[in-house]
Amino acid sequence: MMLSNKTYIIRLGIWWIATFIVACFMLDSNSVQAMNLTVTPSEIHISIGYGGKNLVIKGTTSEPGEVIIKISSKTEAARFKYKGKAAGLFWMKIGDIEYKPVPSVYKVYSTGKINEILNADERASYYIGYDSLENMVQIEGGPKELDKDLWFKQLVKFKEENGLYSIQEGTVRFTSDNQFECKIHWPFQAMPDDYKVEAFLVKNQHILDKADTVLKVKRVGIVKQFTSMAFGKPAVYGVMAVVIAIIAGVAVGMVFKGGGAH
Amino acid sequence: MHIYLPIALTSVNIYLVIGLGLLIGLLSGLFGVGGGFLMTPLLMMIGIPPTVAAATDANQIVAASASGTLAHWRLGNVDFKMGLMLLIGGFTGGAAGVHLIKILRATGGADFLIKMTYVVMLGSVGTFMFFESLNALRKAKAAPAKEETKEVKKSSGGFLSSLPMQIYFDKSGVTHSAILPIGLGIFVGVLAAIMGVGGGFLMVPVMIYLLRMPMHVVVGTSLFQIMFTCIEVTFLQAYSNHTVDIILAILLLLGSTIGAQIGTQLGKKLKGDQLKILLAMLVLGVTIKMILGLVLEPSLLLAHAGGH
Repeated sequence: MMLSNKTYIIRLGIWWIATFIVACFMLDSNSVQAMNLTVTPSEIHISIGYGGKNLVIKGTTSEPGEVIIKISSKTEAARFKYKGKAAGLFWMKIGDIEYKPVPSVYKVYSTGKINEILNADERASYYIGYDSLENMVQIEGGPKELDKDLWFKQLVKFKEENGLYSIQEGTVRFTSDNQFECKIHWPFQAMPDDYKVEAFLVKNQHILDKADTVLKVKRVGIVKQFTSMAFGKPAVYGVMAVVIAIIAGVAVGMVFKGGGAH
Repeated sequence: MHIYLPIALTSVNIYLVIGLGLLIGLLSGLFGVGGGFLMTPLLMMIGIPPTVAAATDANQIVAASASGTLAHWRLGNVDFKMGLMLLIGGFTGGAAGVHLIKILRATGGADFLIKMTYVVMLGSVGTFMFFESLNALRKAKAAPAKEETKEVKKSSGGFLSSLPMQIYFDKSGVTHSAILPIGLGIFVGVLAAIMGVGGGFLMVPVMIYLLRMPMHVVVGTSLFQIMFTCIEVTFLQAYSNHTVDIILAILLLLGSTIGAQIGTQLGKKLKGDQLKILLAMLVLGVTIKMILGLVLEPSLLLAHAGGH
């Protein structure tokens, strides 16, 4: 009885040790294989001289393959005015149209054509490519007989012209067998927010691994102060705008008189 | 070199904006127009939202007219009584204009109204200037030695002189009903708010032809009332619409004040009527571009809802 009890404890001990070793091995192998991703700089400051920012996205993969990088914001409802012909003559804004949910920023970079390197199901479930966004979006308002495809394309065009959406295939390159790099220009039009940067390792049309990180964009300094003043203390802001203009005008008037140009 | 505009939410090339101010200032110095009627559409062309462009331009005009008013006040060229009457009207018109824009922004019609006002005003001013200077050039060619005879209107008509509250304006040497300058002030004030202009290019001919004021008093008084109207418009736009971009205004006035000085110097050396025709063609060019924008199908059928 004692012996069998002992045997049982030893067996249990061996099982636990084995499990522990296997777990350690798995963790270890995970840390070797895990994909890694960095964005430099990871924080963008919108200051007075801001005109967008050049970013470098780097990462390592467990094995060679194709890489897709996606930078996106949280999804929300996007409201616009839509244009149409008024009185059969003039093109003007004639009503509201709302898309929801859509990301305000959506940028995709890849080593190759995303429709060729990744299967349709995974493109849809990971929201990679405009088709996946179109499937998710609902459009409210707009013209009476609304052509969803046409108006979704208008949204993409609007966002692309503002630098907020883009799909740039062939922009990610491998610098060695398992290191990739992508150089991008971040658009100044992107509002302050926390953006999710995701990288996917793709092989044989399937996602093998993924990693993500955060890109922070925020207003700083005088831009932050002016924005909060214009909206928080509009009266003070208005008086300041007028006073600055009067002082500038009078100062120039003095210089003008001093120069004897009249 | 880029600069980020916190209210327009746009990054612009600093040299482009200062250059734009310089160009408008140059035209203003050359032709004696405020230049606001060209500034707002040009700002829209470089990507500034129309409502921000109009409000910020009014802010910029405050600086330009403050400088001009100071100079004319020293020379004794400001008819304060007339200016005050125009101001009362201008304030009422300015407030109404800002309110109108706010209502229309909610329905999406503000940009259309701004564009239409521009097309109509620019079109008529451009056409008038074009033919006026063409006639002047023809006359100069046909009879260079002939002395110009000025036709002075003795009366503004039975209706205007029959209005109540007739006041004598000693500085200008004219008698009018107070209703006339106040009414004209309202008209110019509404336009100033909608277009973001001082209204100088409308107010000056109105004072010469309708109020029959002497030219030197016209310019000083016009600048005086433009300054106050634009102060009011700037404040109200900032207060209720949050559309004044101080940084953009500073860049513009940097360019325009220097440009105005260069323009004044240049204007002394060049032939007026030929330049006027060039300005008229420039004005008509802007008008045609705006008409095409309204008539041709836009490549993009979506636009921002509101300012933010």
